Amino acid sequence: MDDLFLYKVFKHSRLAFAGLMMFITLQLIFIGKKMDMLTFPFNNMFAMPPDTTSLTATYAIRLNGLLVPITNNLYWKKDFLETSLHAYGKYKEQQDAVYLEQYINSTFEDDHKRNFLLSSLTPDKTAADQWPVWFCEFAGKDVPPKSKLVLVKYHLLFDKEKVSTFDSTIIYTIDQSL
Amino acid sequence: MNSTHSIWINKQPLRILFTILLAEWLMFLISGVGYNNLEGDRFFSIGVDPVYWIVFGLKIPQTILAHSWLGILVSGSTILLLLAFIVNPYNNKLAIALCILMFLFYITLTGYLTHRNFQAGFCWIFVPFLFKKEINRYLAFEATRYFLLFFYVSAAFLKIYDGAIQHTGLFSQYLQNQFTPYYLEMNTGIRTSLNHYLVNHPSTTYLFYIISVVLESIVLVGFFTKKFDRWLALVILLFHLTNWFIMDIAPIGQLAFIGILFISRQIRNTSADHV
Repeated sequence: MDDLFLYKVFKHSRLAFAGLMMFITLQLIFIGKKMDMLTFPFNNMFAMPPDTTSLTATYAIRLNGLLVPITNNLYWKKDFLETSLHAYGKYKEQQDAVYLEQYINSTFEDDHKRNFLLSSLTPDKTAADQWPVWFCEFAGKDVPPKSKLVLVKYHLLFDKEKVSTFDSTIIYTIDQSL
Repeated sequence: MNSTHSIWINKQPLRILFTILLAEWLMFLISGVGYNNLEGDRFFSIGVDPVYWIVFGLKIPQTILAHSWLGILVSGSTILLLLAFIVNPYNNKLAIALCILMFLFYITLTGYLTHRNFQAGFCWIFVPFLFKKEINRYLAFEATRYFLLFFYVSAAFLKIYDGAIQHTGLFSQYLQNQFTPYYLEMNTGIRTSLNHYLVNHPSTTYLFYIISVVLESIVLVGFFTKKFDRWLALVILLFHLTNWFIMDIAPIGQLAFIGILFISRQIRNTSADHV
């Protein structure tokens, strides 16, 4: 009994024990509700069956017709470029809305509270419209005046021999020459 | 309980651990995702999480990313504090400051990265060192170690509980999404060749998936004994190395955190008289 960690904590401090029990309880509740939080991680990466298809989608930005490359960067930057572009693609596909905007709109009825949360916790739409310009410069590509930036969604097809582009869709365009 | 002796015999193992953490921090900066690199980024996406809401609600990340000098100041201060902490890893005031700075960076990075990446280990590692009294630090270290074990065991549990392990084609489906930008840019090599092979050979890929679940499950042993902690650390590192090779997910933010398993037995040996 003396070797049990929780018993050691109990013997040492009732307050610490209560805090620890609360932490464990909350962690179990959040896991039960499939909620992921910074302090209560729900590590279900690669535990949910994905859609079964031989097609896979990715987003890219074309600057004046040329693909802005991201994969030659070191890990964190490559991950940042890939993941944030994916989220931006989804944002544009969902009529300029991030997930939290939909959540706040459907959860908070009070206008004042809702507007405060939206202004603090979601990106400014006007600034977000120009995000591809920031993205290109972050990726190491200068954006000359009167450039054309196109956000494209690509579908890739995996077959036995090779991986090829199946189709592509233009999601969003910034034409600075207009 | 005896509070006159140090729980750790000497500071050397901790210095090694926090030097690894400093290297992790430098990797953020060198790869180009430090605060000053992200200056001007106005697009973020956070989830339903009160911690994120408080930090973004106070506009802390937004303010730092709006000023290059502020980003350089915070990043530089973190390096200096880490160096000071390597010299004196028992200074809990430094630990508190570093813990806050690391959490702030993690929240900023993942907020603008727009994705939780489960690499918060570089923040969690400070938890034991937030305490001044040795007995508190010892118990917090034990709790942090259990949290680390739980993190990996829960991942295995959820793969089994959610039934993912029954889907033989699941992992090859996941792998199909992991290297798409590489294919699009035609930046291919040994890892994309392996990826292509695994996508087209679901049985082999399923075997890898089972092995990964087994590796994560093995960590359960740590809840019953510390005897194999170093081996468990190696198992977790092997799991992550394989993840990087076949899934392009590098565990850079977790390395020092996993390292606590290398020193846990030493702490047990010297703390036997304490509790």
